Amino acid sequence: MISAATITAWLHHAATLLDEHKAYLTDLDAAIGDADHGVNIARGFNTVAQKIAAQPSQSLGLLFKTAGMTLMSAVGGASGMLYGNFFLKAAAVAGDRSTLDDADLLAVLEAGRDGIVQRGRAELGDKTMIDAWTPALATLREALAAEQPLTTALTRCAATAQQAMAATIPLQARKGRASYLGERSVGHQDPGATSTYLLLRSLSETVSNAALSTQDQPT
Amino acid sequence: MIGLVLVTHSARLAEGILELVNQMVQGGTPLAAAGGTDLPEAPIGTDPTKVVAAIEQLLCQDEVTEVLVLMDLGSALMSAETALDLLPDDKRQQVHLASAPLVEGALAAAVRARIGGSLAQVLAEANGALAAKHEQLASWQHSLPPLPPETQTTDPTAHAELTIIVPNRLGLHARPAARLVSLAAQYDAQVTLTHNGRTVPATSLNQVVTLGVRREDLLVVRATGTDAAAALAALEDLALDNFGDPIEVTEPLEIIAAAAVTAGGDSFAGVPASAGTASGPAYRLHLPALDLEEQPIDDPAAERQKLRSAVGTVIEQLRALRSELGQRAGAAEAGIFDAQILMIHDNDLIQSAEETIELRRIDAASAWNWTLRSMVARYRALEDDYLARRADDVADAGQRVLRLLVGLPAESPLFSPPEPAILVAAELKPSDVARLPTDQVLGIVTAEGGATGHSAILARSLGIPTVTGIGAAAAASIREGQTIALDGDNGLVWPAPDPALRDRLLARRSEWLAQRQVAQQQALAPAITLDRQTIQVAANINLPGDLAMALASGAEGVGLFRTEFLYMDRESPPSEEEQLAAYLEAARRLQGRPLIVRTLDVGGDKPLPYLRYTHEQNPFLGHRGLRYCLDHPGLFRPQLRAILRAAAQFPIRVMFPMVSTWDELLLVDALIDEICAELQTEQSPFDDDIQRGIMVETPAAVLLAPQLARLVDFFSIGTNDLTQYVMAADRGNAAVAGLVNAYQPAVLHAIRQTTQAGHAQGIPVGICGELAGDPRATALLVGLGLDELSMTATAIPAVKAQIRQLHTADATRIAETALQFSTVEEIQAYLTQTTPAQEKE
Repeated sequence: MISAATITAWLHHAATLLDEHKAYLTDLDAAIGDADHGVNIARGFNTVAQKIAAQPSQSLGLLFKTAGMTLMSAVGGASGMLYGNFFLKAAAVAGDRSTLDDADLLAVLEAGRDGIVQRGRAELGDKTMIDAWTPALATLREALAAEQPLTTALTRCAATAQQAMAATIPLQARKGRASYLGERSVGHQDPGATSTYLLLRSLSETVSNAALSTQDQPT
Repeated sequence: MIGLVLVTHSARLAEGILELVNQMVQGGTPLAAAGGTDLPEAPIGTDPTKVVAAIEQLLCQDEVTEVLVLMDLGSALMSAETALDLLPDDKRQQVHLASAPLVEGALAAAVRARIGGSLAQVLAEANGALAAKHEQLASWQHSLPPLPPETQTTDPTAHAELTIIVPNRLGLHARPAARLVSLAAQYDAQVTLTHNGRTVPATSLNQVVTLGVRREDLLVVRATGTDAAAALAALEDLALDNFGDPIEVTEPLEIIAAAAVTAGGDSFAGVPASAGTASGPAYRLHLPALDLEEQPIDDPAAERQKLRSAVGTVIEQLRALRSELGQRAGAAEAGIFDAQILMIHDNDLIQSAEETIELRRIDAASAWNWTLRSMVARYRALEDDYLARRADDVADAGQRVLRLLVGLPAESPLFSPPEPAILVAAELKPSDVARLPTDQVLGIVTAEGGATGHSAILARSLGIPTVTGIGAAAAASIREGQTIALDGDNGLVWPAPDPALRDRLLARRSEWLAQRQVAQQQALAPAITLDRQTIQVAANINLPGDLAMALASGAEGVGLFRTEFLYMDRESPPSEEEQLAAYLEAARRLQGRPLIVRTLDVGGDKPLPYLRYTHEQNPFLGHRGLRYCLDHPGLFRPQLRAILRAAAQFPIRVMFPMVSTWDELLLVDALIDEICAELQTEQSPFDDDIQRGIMVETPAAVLLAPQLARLVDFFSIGTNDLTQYVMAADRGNAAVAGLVNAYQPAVLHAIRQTTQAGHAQGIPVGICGELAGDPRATALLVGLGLDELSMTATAIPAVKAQIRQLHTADATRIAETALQFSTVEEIQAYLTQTTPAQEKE
């Protein structure tokens, strides 16, 4: 069971992780974009962290909605709109719930991913964050269907995202600013797929930590 | 007034454009900008909440009726789209996104908005804003270095765009959307439709219908690819043709808002969906619920194959149902199944189910169920009631696939009551209605549904009294076998009718049945004037399939078979054998009634994709009709051969369009003689003395009618084109379209002259334009001596009723008087005053 506290922790951890990788993401973006992805996305998630610290909530719908609206205003670029839509769609699925079971979490993430597809209209292979989201969530679904524990499933999901992120290097961009470069976008890792990996990695780490600390407690 | 919102990455850019625009319109156009972000450290960017604020700022001004949003690029597009998502539904309807260039588009749009343009006009102005610039700078283009060759080879695709204002009364509902989708799919081009900021492929029926396009909505069509221009031209023609819908939609629109109100105590109130009353035992359809459990699978390819083959099988089933129903209720009703076929044979839907199989690794049935449910939900979410009802059609077709996949019989146990009964159902699918044993069904009551669902339309065409939408609780309270009563005229259902009420309803039912029978008999009876003169009333048809409807309406033959429809929607002309089959089919269905086949009437105004036309300044005065065919014997000969061969067995006559000289007829006669000799040699049976006629539709033919009448066996006056040519006015040109009125005295004199010339030579003269189907013109046309009136099938009963109230002497006097008048207004006023009121059916 994933609690509102775990989701809150995830969003904080994501902000930290993205902030640590700010320079790396910006370098990736400098090669094929406008060199602002790292700074923008880190600022966005830091603002999210501040907002939810100031207004804690047990309603997952509310947490996700705050995250979505904040990202849309605090990032400035297309990635803000895409991640913002991710959280808005996630909020719609989560509703008033204060906890998520494994299937709920999958549904939330998939709805969010569909929100990104809807807004960005990217397809697999366009060298975008969708190239990380889609295989990663397929892995998560498969692992959960095979009745693996959530922590294992999320670890495998993040690992798939990491592989998928690296697999964007040989692709030619067909969406976003990088698509203006045409063939010259080949040979560079997609910054959006990279931040997606970091987001999923932070989710996996947060849920594992929460599981460990529950086990530590005397039952 | 239309307000403009500008979305840009830079606040200063937004300010600059506002300054520029305001200098032009002096504050006369409501403007707002969403430029840049509120982030001091990253001011360049966009923010959807700022876009929402800008839109709302304009919408709260009284004079602003709608808002057009222009934007720069990248995240500005996403911000604008997100802003639409964030707006409440009612406001979203008032906002439209424009793909026009930002600076030029804003200037052009603002100026047009200021002088009070409609949204369509403002958008068109914005979209065309680059034209002036292109034109002015065109002379500089030659001095640019040519593009390096590799850039040219990357993507030499044509690109084109078109804005349509949807004319259909019911918006792009299933049938017009289906026509659009079939047409778009024929071209080698990627065609998309954009509506309220949503863009979908024009080849997916589900996506097109779920756009929820209503009447007078703006639809932007974009095409890329080699055939882009041709695709757009064809789609524009379709739109101009009301997307193939009859201009007067006969399906009633009324959704009775009061349906939800429960009537006094002893009855349930619903929607009156099909007229008539009934009382009898209630019985239900029992559809076993499908219990689906997701099965993990390890061979997704096999599941995908299963899905594809199930969809294929269901399409075959639907086709079979279509032809069965076509015989019972007419082609228009059966067209519902065409829409269902397109809905499930939709690449978007199938691909999405296949993706679900791949990604989720689940069985075909679960994946299909999952995808289907979300598609049904998308239909249900449409705000337009008529379109939302299409959810039933998708669900119905989709359920068939599902049942096949889980191995349940597709033909579920149906309505089989022990005695004729009233069918009570939660909702009724079109395929259920189509398969109802009509002699066992006294009436229908449903919990869901309105008056415009396909099921309701079908019930009306089958004459089954129906009340829909009485609500789930009310429907559930009716027990199997319980005697109930319904009133389909007023939408009432009585769960426990007392004997007195039942008697009253039974009396009304027999009265209603008698009236229905009389109406049907009257339509079928000949049209005889009070002085026992019989006037031939025939139908105009486009395809043999139209005959079911025409014969049911009382057509006594076909006065005009527009064969160009056999040539449309295909890659090459139909072969001689195909045409022969079509003419024989039509003749067979007519069972000995006469059939006039008009030869191909095409030209620059009605192009066919596979025919070559040179560009014409004025296609209406150009190479069209018989002129074109005589110059293209390769196209013309197979048609003439097919007509001559078909006429060997049936009373078929041939008619030529757009005749203006004597020589043309000599050429036709020579060609027919040649073909007859050929057929003789081949020993194919043919009619060696086929009746030949001409359409009289040019002023030349009218003036030359006394001579032409010696060369042919009949005349048929095509009033639509004749009016345009006599009045020298193009009906597509709004400035002169008012002149295009068949009641113009000049046109009526032309009709009289033609009729007199024909009769002087002893040949019959008919009329096959729209005027023939207007009951106000019936007395006039009979009085002018026309021997046959040929019209669209739906007009036949009313025109026949008019004829039966006429005395030919009166008709002659009416015609003589009408032709004394000098203006169209006087003539129309006189005819309205002399037209006897129709008796109510």
